[in-house]
Amino acid sequence: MEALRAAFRLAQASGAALDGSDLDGAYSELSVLAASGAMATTPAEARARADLLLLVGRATDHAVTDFTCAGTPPRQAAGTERRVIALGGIRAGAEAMPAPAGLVPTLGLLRAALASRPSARPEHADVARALKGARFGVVLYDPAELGEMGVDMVLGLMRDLNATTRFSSCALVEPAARLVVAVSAWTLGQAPRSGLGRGVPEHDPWRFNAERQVCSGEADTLVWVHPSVPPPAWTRSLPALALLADPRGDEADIVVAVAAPGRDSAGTLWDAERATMTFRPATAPRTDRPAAAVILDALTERVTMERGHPC
Amino acid sequence: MLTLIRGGRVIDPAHGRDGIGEVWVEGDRIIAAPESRTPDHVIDATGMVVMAGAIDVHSHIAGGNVILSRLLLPELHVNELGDPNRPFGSACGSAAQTGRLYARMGYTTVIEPALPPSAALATHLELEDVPFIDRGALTVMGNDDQLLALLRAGESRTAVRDLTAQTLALSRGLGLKVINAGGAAAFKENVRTFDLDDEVPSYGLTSRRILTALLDAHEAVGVPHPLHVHCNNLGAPGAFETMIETMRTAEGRPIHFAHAQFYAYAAHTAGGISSAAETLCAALAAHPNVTLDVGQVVFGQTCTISLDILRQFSARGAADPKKWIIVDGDAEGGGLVPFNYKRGSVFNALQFMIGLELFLLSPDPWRVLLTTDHPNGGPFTAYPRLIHLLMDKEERTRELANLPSKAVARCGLSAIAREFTLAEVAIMTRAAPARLLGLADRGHLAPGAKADIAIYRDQADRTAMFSIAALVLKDGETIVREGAVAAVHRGRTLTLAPQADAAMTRRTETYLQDRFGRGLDSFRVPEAAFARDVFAPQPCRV
Repeated sequence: MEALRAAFRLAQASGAALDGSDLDGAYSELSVLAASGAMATTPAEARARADLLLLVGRATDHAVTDFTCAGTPPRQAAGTERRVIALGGIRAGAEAMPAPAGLVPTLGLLRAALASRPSARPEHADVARALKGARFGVVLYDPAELGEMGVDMVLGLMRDLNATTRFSSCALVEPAARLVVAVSAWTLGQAPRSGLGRGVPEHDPWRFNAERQVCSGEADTLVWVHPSVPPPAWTRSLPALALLADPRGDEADIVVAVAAPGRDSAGTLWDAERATMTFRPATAPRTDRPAAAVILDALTERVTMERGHPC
Repeated sequence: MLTLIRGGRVIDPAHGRDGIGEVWVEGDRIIAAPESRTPDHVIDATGMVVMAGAIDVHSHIAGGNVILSRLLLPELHVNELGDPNRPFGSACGSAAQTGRLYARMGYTTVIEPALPPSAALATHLELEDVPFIDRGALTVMGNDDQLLALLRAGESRTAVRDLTAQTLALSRGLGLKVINAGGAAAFKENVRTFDLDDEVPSYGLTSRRILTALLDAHEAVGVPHPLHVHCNNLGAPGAFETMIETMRTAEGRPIHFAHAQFYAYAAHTAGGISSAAETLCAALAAHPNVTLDVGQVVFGQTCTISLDILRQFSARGAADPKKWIIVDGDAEGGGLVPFNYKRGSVFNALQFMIGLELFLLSPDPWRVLLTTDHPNGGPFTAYPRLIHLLMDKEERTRELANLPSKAVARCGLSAIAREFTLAEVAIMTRAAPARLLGLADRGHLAPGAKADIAIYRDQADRTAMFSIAALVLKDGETIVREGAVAAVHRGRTLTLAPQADAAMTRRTETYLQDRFGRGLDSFRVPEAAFARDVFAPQPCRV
């Protein structure tokens, strides 16, 4: 949290653009959300209540899915047995539903089966019946895997099912991406992939995609703030500073070892299972590493001094 | 520093003061006129009106659903112009802009009315980033499994009190709110309408039972602000009857009704709605324990935000533009439905008129407060225009001339001659909200009060007068001058700190571990999560 806030301050002072380090999944979800909305729930609520879980693709093998499937659901509707269906994947304890046509077309065919359309396939009839008969069903999916079209299909499925029963969805998005989207929304009024070069925040997911800006040569410097993830290869084409918790030292032109929040120092992080922010004390406190926010604020001070304070 | 404000018309209804006079400020407090001391700074308020800083008791300014509203409608927050010196403060829809826009109208305290205990830390972190003003938030209960399971098991009032106290303390709420008690829990079991005596299926509890339990617990904990209630049946024709029945349910205990306009609808014989404002105001007069805020509708685009997911799901067909979000959260969750309130719509015009009617028929300005339920009825920036309409009959007549005649005929507004006085405006926006929230240190200008002061140029155009304050002091510091930022002030977040019961703490730890795989620590809002000393604890009633 504090590193993010400091990164926003540095972007403000230097006129930089801001992007998240792993936003492809989040953006598949955000684009659809801004176009048509969403029906969503938390993994914790799904774990407590869902009598049917539909795991799509990579969601069959994900830590949040393990959490969601664990234990006996305390809030599950009386008289129901939990059913877990793995679409296009395999998971112990789950019924496998093949997706030979691909995940997104199969989701489309499921919608067709629900609506009894001519394109419906007989092999989907049982799952379609199960979805319709669920009392509180949840689809878990990875938006990075499905892309915008696939996310739209999942959310369309939600709208179809909620005409008669209750169903919701969980998008499995990187926790750091959730955090940066939230802080960006309240700091800039918009999601990240926003630029501050013109004095007011401008939001444009294409224009301010950091990878595109770097690869096209539009950007001339990069600051990487993600202590637990090293910068990807495309960042090596321009002068870069990386703030990392466990650096090798050759990840960027300048590498600063910083404290890992929740490990070396206390910090506010995203809890993927509760789908909100949580404060984590340091599990192995050490004081020889500065917080990323301290480095970023020092840079902001220097940039402000060199550029001059605004009138 | 010793500051003297002199020459202005000082309006302080909490102390019956209305006339040309002086206000002395030292540090962050208002003080009595000192004997034989020379002020370090004199503010000449000649031709101006001096009031305490205004207080908003119900405005959705932070939290997960507010974030979602920005992501659902990014087109609403496109930045074309701004102040390059303050890019965050001029960013449309940002927390910084919220604080700035409130401050320039002379508001110095704002209450976020929906603090979900499971996401309290995130809400408080966002509130911290709303500058200039003090904030507070109302902890939401009434759909959470732990409470409902406890009631189903027939546990004692003491147990409910202990859980309520603990939830308030854990989430750092300033008050307690209930939103369509049991409605969200019922919706998760596919219930599509939910009235006061309907049951949440698997708990066997009626909404009335849950509400009554929370009224008892609220009283036992000693929360200064009355239980803040969002009733069942919001927006439905005939909803006024639900609100009146809920008033009866309180049985004389203090109760505050949120956004009452959305309930003041009678079913019209020809279809649609007509105004029930007169009936509701008569009920208000008969129940002195009741207060309400209006939730005035204003015309234009907005995004409605509510934890009443049952109601929001049923409203999805009216979404404009055609997109909406429903989140089945750990208790309530959230529903977001964009609305465009149109002058040409009979229904929307009636909503607009019914809100004004509630103010003007109100038996007591101390009990009917100004809100738009931001952003549900419209943005809080509409307050100056609404004050103008309440103070000026001719201005109302001009406004009504542009509304559908069918709507005007179904509402008594056009026949109301009442015009609010400046003193009544000061009651409705300062003295009454402070009293209602139990904040003795604000909403007035007596010695000892916080030096939160708004100074306005006295203009016939009340919209202009209240849109841009000539000067705003927060904690004695000048933060706004002629509507522009004079100094960035970091306000504080007001909270209660009721004593939690150790046995209930242990029970809750077990419950949370079973339910979330996390203990109480995961839900806490620790001071260490904040960059500065942000919380200002307020006492509970003894």
